[in-house]
Amino acid sequence: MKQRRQFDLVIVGADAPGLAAAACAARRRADIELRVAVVRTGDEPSHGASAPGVPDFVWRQLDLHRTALQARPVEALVSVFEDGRMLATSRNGQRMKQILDEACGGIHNLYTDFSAEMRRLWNRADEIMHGEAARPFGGALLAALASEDSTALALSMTQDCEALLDDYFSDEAFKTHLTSVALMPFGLGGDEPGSALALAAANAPAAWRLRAGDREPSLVKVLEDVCKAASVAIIDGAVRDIEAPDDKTRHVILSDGEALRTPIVMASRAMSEIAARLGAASAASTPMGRREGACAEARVKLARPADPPGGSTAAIFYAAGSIDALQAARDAALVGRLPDDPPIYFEFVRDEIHVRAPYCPAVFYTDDQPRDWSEQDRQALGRQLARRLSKLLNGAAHDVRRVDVKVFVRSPAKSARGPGVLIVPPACHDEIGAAARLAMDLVHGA
Amino acid sequence: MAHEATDLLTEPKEALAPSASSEPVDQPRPSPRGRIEGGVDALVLGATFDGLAAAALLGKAGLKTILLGGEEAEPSIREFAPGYRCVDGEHLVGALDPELVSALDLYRHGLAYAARRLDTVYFFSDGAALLTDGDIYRLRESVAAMSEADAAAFAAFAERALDAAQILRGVFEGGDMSDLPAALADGMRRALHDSLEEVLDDTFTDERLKAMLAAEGSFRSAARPGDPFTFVSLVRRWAGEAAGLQGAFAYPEGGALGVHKAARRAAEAGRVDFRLAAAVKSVLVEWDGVAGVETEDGGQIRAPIVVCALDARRAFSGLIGANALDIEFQAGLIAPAPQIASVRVNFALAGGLPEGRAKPHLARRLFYAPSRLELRRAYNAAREGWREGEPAAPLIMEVVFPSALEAGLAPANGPEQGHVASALLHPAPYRLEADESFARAVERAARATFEKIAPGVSARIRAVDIRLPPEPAAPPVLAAWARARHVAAASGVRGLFFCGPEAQVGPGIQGAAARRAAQAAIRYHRGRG
Repeated sequence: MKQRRQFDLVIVGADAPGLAAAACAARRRADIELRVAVVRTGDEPSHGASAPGVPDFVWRQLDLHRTALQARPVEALVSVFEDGRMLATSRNGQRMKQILDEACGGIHNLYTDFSAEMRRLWNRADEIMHGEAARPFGGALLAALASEDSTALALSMTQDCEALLDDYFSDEAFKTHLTSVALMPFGLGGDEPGSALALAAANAPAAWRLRAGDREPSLVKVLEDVCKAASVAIIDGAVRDIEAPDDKTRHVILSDGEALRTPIVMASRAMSEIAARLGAASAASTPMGRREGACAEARVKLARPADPPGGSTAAIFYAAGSIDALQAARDAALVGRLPDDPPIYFEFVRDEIHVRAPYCPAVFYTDDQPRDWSEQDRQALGRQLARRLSKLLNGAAHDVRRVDVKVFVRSPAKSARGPGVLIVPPACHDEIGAAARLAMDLVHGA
Repeated sequence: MAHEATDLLTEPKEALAPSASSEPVDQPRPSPRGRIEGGVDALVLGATFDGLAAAALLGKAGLKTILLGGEEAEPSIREFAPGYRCVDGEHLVGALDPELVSALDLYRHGLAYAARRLDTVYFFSDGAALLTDGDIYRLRESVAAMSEADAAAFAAFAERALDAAQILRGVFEGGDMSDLPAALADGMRRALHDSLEEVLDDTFTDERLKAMLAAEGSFRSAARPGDPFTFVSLVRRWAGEAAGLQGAFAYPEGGALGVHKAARRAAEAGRVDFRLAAAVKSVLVEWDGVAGVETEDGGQIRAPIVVCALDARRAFSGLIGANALDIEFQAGLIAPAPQIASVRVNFALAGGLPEGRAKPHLARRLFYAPSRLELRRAYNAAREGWREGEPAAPLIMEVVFPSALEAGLAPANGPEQGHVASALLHPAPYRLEADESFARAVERAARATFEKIAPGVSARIRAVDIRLPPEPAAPPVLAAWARARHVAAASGVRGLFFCGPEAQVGPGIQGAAARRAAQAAIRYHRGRG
């Protein structure tokens, strides 16, 4: 047995939410110095792609204005369709109006109403999810159901995405666009109860992702410096297991055999590999997270930089096809099949395209017997993704040099380890806010 | 406005013409044919079980009540094959409101149970079967026999879930729940938004035990066991009461017809005036309160209270009209169109079940619990509307044998007694217009699932009767709950009370919504003095 280091809080995942949460926790208490560690597992999202938005309270807590951070929002969220049609969401109100006037025939007023209503819904839901430290969502939902004035709110929160959108819009492509942006990060179908909440969450102020320019320091780099200044230990190593010898002790076992001793272990994101492999029911889970399925991440290397649709590299592109296709993909994944046209979203990073296919099965079935992902499955998915990209990008497939596919499996059946062994922040678009709030709550009583 | 109505009754017909009318008075106008009727305390719309029950409660409280029929059919007994008879409608009672039963004294009006506590036999995809006691509190003993590893976990799980069921029972019936969150254990609060599959995966290892609970929780529900908020469906199922026993199923004499008749007799005893043929054209709203209804023949029945047992679309969009309703109320009023349904199938059997692994007792509830994969495939197929050759896998099926519980439903067949098996199959796609090929698909699925329960039964099936259109599945419990509160509470129209299907949480004959609506109406009546 190697040496055993002692910490007050260990966060697994040195991505932006993990680092921000660690720094916030370390700076939370002025009276005592907390020992906080972040484990860099190697599964963090690659540099160059977009990072989650930084909510105001994190900005203030970490004094980010004193750093070299450029908070440059992603230019647009763009839906591409196989017939060449494109739809986008922009942060710029004027630009958004222009897009809606051109593409959807003047539904700008409806969209304004819709966004306002979603913001209102999210503020209430946010209160419900984060209002008190680790207060279970269910209890607060009950309270919302109990009060006479909020039956309409409770109804929206338990509703599905499609039903909610039908109240506002008739344009199928635009509904598909809004659904894709809201649901794809979680691999949800538009027909599932509770998916309306994701629609509201996508309208949270910090849901809009950031992306650094080529020569600017990335958000992760800046946060690493902030962590170092706050004496947070950043430890490299894959996590093999988490042991719980008793109620108050956790041992985070790294692949080289080192054990980190701590009372609390937290995952940086709800939808990360570690949360999928070792996560137990979190206190503040929401209808959006912790579902069975798998997300595939592919890096498609091109011979030369590709031309993104519409010419903007700093955008995120969604290709769902239709709302029904999203639900069909979700249904297929649940019975162990890869969808025929997997819904994907992707970004351009220099001469690579980073693709995510969140609607993959957790297990396959051969003759009704479950089997895990094999190398062949990964390769087949890689080819399928390259084909799909080339259809969407007008023959970019000729330039494809290599496709690397990683698959993160979320399987509730395998992750049942009793509550509290690994605490997972609630799944939502504002990942930094969710992780930072949770970390600060966890060390509050330390 | 109310005094105007009484004036109109006493004045001659000519007074009906508006005095400020620009039309010459001597021109003959088509005078309203119907007459205007007053002196009524309350009107109940819809002769459903809930409508009858509400009318009976109002009548019993001394209100002069008229029950107006809709298009709903009364359950009836019919011969579907020579000598074989079946009752349409529910074949079991599992959530009949006990307060309603005692308030109306339904036992005195003919409600009786042929079997008070049906034992359930679960059948699994691997061919195994499990006999469980009809008393849900003894379920743990049967489970311990099947899965030693999960016995302790199940005992703890059942205790918590049954506690939650008891606490939430009043809430499922439309009660107030402002005190609830404190009373609920922390674990149960979390369980409110969890999916059934997640909870089962976290708690148990035995796949059959998970299949059994997942099937019970999703039976007759539109939500798949993997959807959020579905754990509470199982809690809803266990919160029901039949014949004084929580979580049990009882077979009423005469099936649904028996329950319906008892409510009808209770209404007759309360001197409710039945006008089942009168078609209602609209509900009259004057100022911010109801004033009665207008019938299709042009007449009016005026009353300060209207209790509506029709569905929300017909009640609020059809009869009342958007103009009279609060804007806030209209949003979320109409539930989305159902996608998933259950289908009733009656089998005429030449004899009992073939002798197999399980001794074929017929005075039991037989239940096929599909494996996780089978159930997911079944839901996917139903959502896609059953394409050619679907459903390929078996579905959830509940079977009871009314002929074994009541005499005279099936003929003697040589030395053996013939039997009627009444089955409910779930999930199927919801179709209002069901065609031949749909009926064939239902029959195929029903036969295949019945074979899973009793291998060799196909040879004994003499006739198959499929009840169409299928019954829409119950919406997910939490959404139904939110909608029920919304619909029952806040229409903004005084004197209007609602107990249609949207006011009910979970499937089956319940009557709790009717009791709530009638009690509120009686309070309102007394408050007006």
